[in-house]
Amino acid sequence: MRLQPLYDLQQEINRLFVAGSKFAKGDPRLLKHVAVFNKLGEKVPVFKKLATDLEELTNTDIQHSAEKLSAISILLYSILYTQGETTEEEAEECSVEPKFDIQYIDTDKTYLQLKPVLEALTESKSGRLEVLQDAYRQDVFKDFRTFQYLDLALGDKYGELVNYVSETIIPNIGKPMLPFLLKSFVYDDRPESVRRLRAIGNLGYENIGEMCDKILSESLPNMQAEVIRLLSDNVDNEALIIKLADDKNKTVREAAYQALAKIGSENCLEKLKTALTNSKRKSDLQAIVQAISSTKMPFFFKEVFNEVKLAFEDFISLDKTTDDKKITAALDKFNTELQLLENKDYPEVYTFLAEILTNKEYNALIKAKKSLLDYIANNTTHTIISCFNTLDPQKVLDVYISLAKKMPDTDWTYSVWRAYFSACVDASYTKEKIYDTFSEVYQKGIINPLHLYDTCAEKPESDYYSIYEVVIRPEKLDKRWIDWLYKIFEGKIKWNHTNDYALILLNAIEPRGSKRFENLLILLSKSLDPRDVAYIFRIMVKREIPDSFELIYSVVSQYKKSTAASYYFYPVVEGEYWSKFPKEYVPKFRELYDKQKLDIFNEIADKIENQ
Amino acid sequence: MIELNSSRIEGYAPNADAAKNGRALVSKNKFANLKIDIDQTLIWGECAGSGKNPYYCSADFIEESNPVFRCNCPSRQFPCKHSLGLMFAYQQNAGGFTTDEIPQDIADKRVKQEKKQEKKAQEKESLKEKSEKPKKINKAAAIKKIDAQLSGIEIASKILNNIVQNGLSAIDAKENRNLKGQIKELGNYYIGGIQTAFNNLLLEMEDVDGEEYTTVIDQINYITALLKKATEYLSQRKEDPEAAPEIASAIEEQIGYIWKLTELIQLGLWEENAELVQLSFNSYDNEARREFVDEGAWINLKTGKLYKTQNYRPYKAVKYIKEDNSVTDVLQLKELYIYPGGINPRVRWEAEARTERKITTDDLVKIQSYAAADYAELLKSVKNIIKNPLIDKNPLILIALHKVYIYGEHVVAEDNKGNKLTLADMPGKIISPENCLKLILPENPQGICLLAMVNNDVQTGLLSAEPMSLITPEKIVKLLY
Repeated sequence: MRLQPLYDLQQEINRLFVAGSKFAKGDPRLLKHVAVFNKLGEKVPVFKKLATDLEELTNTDIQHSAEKLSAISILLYSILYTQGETTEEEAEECSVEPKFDIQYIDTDKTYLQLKPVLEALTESKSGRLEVLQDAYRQDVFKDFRTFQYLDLALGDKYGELVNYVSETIIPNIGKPMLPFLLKSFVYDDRPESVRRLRAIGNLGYENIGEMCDKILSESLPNMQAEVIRLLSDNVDNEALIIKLADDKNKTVREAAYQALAKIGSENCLEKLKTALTNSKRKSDLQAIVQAISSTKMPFFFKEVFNEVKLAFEDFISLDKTTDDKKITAALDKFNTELQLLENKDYPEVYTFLAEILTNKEYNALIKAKKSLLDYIANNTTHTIISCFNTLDPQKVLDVYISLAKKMPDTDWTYSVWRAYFSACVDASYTKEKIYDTFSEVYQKGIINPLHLYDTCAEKPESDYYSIYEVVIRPEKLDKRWIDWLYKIFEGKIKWNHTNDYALILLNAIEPRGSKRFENLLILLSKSLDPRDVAYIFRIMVKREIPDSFELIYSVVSQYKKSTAASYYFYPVVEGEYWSKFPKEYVPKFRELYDKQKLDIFNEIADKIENQ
Repeated sequence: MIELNSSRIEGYAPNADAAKNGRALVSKNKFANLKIDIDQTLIWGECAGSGKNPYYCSADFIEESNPVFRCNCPSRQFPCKHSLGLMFAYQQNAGGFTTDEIPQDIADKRVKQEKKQEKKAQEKESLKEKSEKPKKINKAAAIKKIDAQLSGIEIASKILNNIVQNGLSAIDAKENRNLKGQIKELGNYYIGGIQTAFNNLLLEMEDVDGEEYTTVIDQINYITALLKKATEYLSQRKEDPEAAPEIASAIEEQIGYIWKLTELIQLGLWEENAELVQLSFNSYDNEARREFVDEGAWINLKTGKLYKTQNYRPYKAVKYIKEDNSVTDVLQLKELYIYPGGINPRVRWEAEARTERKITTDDLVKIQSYAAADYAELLKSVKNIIKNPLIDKNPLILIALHKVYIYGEHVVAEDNKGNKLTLADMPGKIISPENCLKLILPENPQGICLLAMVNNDVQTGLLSAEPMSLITPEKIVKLLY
């Protein structure tokens, strides 16, 4: 049984520690306890001692008060440590409900295997995603002890990490994650809770229906949007989702539009069609269009198609005298509605999309108001290409071939050429045919070395990779491109990323010892900024160009302190080629440092010395 | 035959990052010329680095329990990522290692190593002989040191007296800086343990939440008691510096003494041919001592005594001191050294005196036989011990589970006499071992025992235990590491 006077005294003693023992003398609050413990001391001598000590404390001068207070505190706490009750008072008792069979629990991973993973799930240092990917490959997440941390990571601020946890790791663990997700789930509208709900739903929790009902009855729009996504897996929820498409909250309506498209029944698509034509919901237009664009629209296609055509006709019916605002709004509306044709694999769609860019009125109007409409027109061309990307590739290639012959030569049609180029590569055109078809377009600058690079570059699967990890297959490129690639470096060069790609391609194509390429590298090394020249140095050393060390030294020795801040030279200093330099360059760079007092010379000397 | 698996290689790594980096070298195909000797005791190879020449690394298992790693890279981490990567490469594809003769330089180094081991063994023998002879003590030096310690304790007492007299509320930022300066000064008096106790006090104060000072006052009680006992103890020692140090308590270590192995042997604090099983492991940041502590909880299979191992890694040297790993096998130790004092004494051993064997069901049965079946008796003795302000307030206990149920928020374990114990997390945890326990504890837990850490919350009056590991007849389920 809890002896309350002891805990009351503890509070008093704690208070005195906070205020200072100097206030103990004559403290009436302490004196109250003296009587209580004197009474208790009649049966238990240690309480009598407490009472005596307390009384002494209230009579002690300031100098000795600390000693007295500490002595009482030690005695009191010692007693308290013997008083602990092993259960809480008056609580409800129920049986344990194990969710796992202890026989199959895996806690085999060692501390050193778990530690980096658990840190990656709870801390905020860099490289965490890679740690998790690595751990996933090594089956670390089979260990039961990671589950609680994975649940915690759903509240992480780093989106990519959260996505990896929620979309890859948790689904792989499956239902064993449910008890942890449910334990920490709360009915609020934070992104973390929404993610938890999504995971619970995706793992097939049997009582998800009850959770959904509760969420829909409350004002939790983000949660409700997630519920709608979950409900869209079942056509039986059609009526409810149709109703929610008229909800007063925009987030809820937008989720409902997507769900209607996903269910794709006649009733759902009719609701979408009605929403599209409903003038009250202009702010929802983008969401409605997005929803419709994701479905093939087996019902009401004609109505939707007509809507797009109407928007096009509305635009081309205008002329250059029309008010700027009106004309911009018309093209904007058409561009938005054009997205409706994504995934609509009907013959009239191919014809219509091809017609847009060859339509005389359309092109004439944009040309006449170029400064006003150029940007939206380019966007519209991209929308056309996006639509084509969702249709049959062979039929699309045929459209591109015909468009190439009759499309006007305007800058808002250039991206069609690039899409056409990609379509040819995807259709496995021979390298010769690609050259024959596109060399003329290349000369106009519509396609550039980057596009050629994409035809022969084998990139790593990861989203994040260094350019040096890409493998170039020069055999995939027609040799006739070489002259065109060299042409980029003629005249005065303004360096941009295109030059980098041309150089990468030439480096892959040109054999070791090619004088033409070596001369180009030497020329470039002398004329480029430190920011751009590092790659040239790298190739020079790698190809073992005669005198490359001396050439690089002579270029770098020209760098002056006054030229720029030190970070300007950073790319050159950081190059790994210094490790290949002979040691005799160490004193040469040290000497440069002595003369110029530019730190990079010492750093380079260190790099050569410590190789 | 070299037998390597991921956990074993990671166990050799000085820290988790080194293991990760070693693995990355393999995935990036940095290794070449991978070789193994005909006896399959040595693997070696080349690893491409950033320089022109590769690094030459090897892993020598001629003494299987005590492998030697060699590499010509400049890393101060040991083993370096190249040696670790080499082992991962072997683990992933042993067939990729071609048989070859041991390179001459490694053969030479093996001979040197052998001689070194022999010398070490001789030294150890002489150490034991030496420990049997009484240690000569320089009385004057010992008294001088004790005098310095007593002076330090006097200063420490004044600091504490000021804190208590003026009150904790008087410690503002300026006063905190003053105190830090004064506490730093204590480092000059051979009383490192007392200095740490004061640092802990300041850290506890930083953690005060909602005017709840109980843990701070508990720490003040600890310091008060420590200063009192240290003064008495050192005054006695001063009178007779040649007398044996106190080993019934941890006072020497609490003052700041660091025990040497020879002293432990001399004091008879060692055991021959011990077998230990690790029941739980944790690693935490001890801010007061500015170091990380890897702490293992072990049971002695012969006696059932619960021990702790503590591997200290100061912040400054954290990259170069090997981080302990959790252990799943039974450790067979030629000599086990036991530090004085404490409910769960700290132990240590030497790496070369250790072999491992797989844990068996017999071991698990034995561990279960040591579990306390009578909670009342166990907790009575625990309470008696923890009422001493100088004793660790969170001892480890091993209890047999008879009945379990949820009572309010927490799990309650009950013994066959109806004595109960609440199983609850320690405060301040981001992850809850108790929640894990709730999910896996069977309705009928008989035949399972639990390792737990006692926590007596003097503010609420609840004496509970934090679950750490469950020992079933088949395995150990670890809730921490």
